[in-house]
Amino acid sequence: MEKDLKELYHIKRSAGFRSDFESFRSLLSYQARLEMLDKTGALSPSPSLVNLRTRAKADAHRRHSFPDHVDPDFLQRAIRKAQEALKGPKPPKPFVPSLEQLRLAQRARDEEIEERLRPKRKPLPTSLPPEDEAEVDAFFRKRGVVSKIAREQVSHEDISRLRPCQWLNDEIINFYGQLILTRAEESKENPPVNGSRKPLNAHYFSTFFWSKLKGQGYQKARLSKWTKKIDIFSKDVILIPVNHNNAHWTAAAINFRKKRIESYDSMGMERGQVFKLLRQYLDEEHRDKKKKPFDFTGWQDYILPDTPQQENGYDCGVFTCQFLEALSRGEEDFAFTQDNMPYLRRKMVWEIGHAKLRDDP
Amino acid sequence: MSDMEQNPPTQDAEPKVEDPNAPINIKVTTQTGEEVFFKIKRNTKLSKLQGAYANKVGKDVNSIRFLYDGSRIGDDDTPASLDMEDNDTIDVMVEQVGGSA
Repeated sequence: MEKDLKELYHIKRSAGFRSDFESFRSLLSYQARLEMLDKTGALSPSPSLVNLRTRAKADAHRRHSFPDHVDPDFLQRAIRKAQEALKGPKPPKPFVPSLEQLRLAQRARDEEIEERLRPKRKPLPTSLPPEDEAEVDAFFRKRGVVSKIAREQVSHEDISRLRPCQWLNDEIINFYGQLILTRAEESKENPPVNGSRKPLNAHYFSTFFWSKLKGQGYQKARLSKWTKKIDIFSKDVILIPVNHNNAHWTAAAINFRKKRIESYDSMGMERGQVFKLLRQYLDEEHRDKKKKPFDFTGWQDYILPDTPQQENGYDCGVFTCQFLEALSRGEEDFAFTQDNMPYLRRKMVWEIGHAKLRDDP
Repeated sequence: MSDMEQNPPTQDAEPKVEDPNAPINIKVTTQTGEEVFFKIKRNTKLSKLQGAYANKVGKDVNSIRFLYDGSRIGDDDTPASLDMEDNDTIDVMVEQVGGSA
């Protein structure tokens, strides 16, 4: 029997048991006892009329003799079980990192940081194809109304704001928003076939939405009527340009897929008010259309840690348009930086002039 | 500005002028709550109303935006084309700009 015990001990050692033989013997006794108690039901409620004194005596006897429960039969079963376990998949080795592993982990971490600083994503071009660049110049020369889409139109005065260093106005932002909205709606009927990712089911609120919400509030601004033809709760994402004090543009989104209120600010400023007012809007819109409060369970206020930042005092409108455009395609981060702004301004002229978003980056 | 119009271009877009031919009352309200009331025939282009409003408040019509239920009012829109009802409201907004102060 001692031999069986030793054999079992060796099997267990080879399977990863790390303590000494005496510990093993006590563990085994404990196991055997638990098994026996399970069988005899010592812990289960007794049937009525049990003579507790006799029972206690029997228990006392048992307690003193418990090492004997490790009988040959139990041992044989234990050995069989251990051998079967050995054939099975091995438990993972306890993790003690070697110097090499530590170095590898360190390098992986460095590479991750490197990647975030210099994304492997294909860099944006610096200019459009020559013929398209010529078209951009032509759009700049046009006078009067330069382009129309749905209920939006831009004049040459608006378009000239896309020249370098100019502030953008509501006409440019809302025209661009309409381009985003039109693409989202067209892709619902004709999904893109050329392998590009399908735009999200997005809704775009014009720049006046935020002014109304902030200035007058849901009721007084009659915002319930803005959605008489759409159900915002059926959308993937609601895109909202936000004008701050007639001096700064940022982008906000109500992301129904991720349950997030999102704010994208190329100046990286604190935007608590955006979160607060959009939450209020969601709740009031839900009460108005669905007749009950909005359920905010699981909803978060979200700011992308690496939001691209402007490095001057005039590009925020371009950043805002590009945030909204990328968000409407379900992007989680952005491929552009300050360096790309001159190119993106010209690209936007082309897109607005043709009333159509380009497929290339 | 209303060559396409069938109705004689009377003062139907002037503030507070009656017109017996099915006119409706429309309120134009600013962000700060100022209100101007118009009576306008259902087939009259709202661009007339916009011009009249700009004139009244002394602003360039290109510097202000007119919205009906959040949608921009186009040059050819009429109360009929927008399904407007009596006593409906038009919001007037001013141009917004931003670059980052």
